[in-house]
Amino acid sequence: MILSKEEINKLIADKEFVISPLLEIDQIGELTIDFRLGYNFLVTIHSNNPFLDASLNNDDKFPLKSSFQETRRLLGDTFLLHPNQTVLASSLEYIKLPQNVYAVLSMRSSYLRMGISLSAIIQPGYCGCISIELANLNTIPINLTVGAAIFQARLYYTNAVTNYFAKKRKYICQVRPVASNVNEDNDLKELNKIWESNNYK
Amino acid sequence: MQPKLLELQFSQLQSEWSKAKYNNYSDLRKKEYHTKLAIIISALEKENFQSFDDTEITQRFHIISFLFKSLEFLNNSTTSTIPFEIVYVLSEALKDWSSADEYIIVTSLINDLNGFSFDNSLMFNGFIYKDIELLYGVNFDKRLVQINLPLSLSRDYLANVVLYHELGHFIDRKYEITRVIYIEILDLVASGNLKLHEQEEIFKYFPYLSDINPVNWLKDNYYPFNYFSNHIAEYFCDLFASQYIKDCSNQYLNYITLNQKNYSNTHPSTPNRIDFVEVFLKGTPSFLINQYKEIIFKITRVNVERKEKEVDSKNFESLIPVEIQESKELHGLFIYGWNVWLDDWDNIKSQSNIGFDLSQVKVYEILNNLIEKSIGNFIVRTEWELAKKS
Repeated sequence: MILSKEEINKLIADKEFVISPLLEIDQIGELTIDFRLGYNFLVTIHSNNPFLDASLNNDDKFPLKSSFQETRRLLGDTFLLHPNQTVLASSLEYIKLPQNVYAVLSMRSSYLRMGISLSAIIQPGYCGCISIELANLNTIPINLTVGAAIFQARLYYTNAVTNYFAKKRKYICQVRPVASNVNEDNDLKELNKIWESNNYK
Repeated sequence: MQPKLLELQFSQLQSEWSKAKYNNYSDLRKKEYHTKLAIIISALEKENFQSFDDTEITQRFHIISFLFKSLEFLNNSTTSTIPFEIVYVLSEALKDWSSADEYIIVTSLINDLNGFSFDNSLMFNGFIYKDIELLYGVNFDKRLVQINLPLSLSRDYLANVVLYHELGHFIDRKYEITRVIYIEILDLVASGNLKLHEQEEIFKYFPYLSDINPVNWLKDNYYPFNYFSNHIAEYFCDLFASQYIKDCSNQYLNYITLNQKNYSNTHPSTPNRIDFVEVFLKGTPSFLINQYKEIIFKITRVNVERKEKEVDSKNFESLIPVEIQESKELHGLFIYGWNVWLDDWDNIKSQSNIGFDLSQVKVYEILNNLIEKSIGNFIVRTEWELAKKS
């Protein structure tokens, strides 16, 4: 069930849902919350790494972090998003979701029309700034303003209360975008063992 | 110096400038400072170094060195490189002691883990500013306060409490506080009019003054970096910092000095430094601290007193930033952060129902993130409210 404006406001008032800073109360709409573009970015750079390696099968390790460069802006500055570029950014707002509420993210309509896509889900209990992966599907660069409300979240109740921190989490209280920690996935370790076994390693 | 060597130095500067001239800064005042550097470099390019006499060559050498030093710090103070959250907080502290608009805090990120320091090479070199104004008509009405900090710790808000101490060095140099305390203490010791407990207290913090020979020598040989003036300055900076962050810098001091029990030429012993701050914070009657307070007030018209507001919050334990209401709380944020770090972290685990072992590096990241975001949110809200009012 999607949460209404009244329900969202009640959760905030009861301190069950944290969103900070909430610069304008009208960021909370009838069924959505508008989120603003934060001031920290990670952009991909051409490094010695031949590719972004989402496997553990290479003896030569290619750390993902070295393929990204951090850049910061100030509120009101602009950030140029180039065609076919994926940029890791984060929301200006820090959130902590209730244990029984998850969020579905999408770009605001005005930004969708420019050709920026975003699709993500945030799990119940998550805390931190929201990491977003901005991709410009247009053929020309798009100049974004830091602090502008560019994406939105719809909140939904889950049927059961969950504990986000029941298992070890890779991303806790992130306030800047963080490069993928995919190489810490346990699945990849198991898959790597299978691959090694199949290849007589 | 041969003109060719000056040309070499200027070529080095031009090479550096070819990259630095496109810098984007985190505030307008740095942009204005940068524009002034551009005017001077452009004027230097038009000069014929071969026609200069020795005096003119020496003058240009110092001006080019000034430009290099300015760039060293400005290059590390661009929007992407400057740790602007900590600089914002230090700028708020600076406002208590000086017109903040008069100075621009800049940082240099250096490859030295203990490399926290204040670099005064630009700030108090009055001749260079006069030369530049006379030669090129450029007036630097705002000067750079240069603070060095380790590159690898630029986001470490626990370690960065040390920067309050470094800011104290700037205040000390600006008002020449150490010089006045130096003369006052030596006069008191030499006068023989001190009460026994007053004398004992001075000898505790400056053990070498119990011997009359050093006292006489020091009276006749003041210079800013002799061991006695160094020690006075360090005590002042510890006192200065503790107004904002209480005894937090003692924690870090203890760590970086391994509680060094002997004094050195540059620093008093760590136990004495820690004790000095504790006496001030506890309000224990102290002749020496009263001397410091009186002299500092006479010179600066600023009272030495607690200038932070403690953060009354359990937000960090609940993994959320603190809603800072006023700038004094920004300083209190570091005290809160240190308290959480020194705690056993069970509060964090229980308040957020964490079902796995929290590693120390994870707590370290969480705390630094939450401090950074607490400061960042305060800056954002302040700017937003100001913009709405204008």
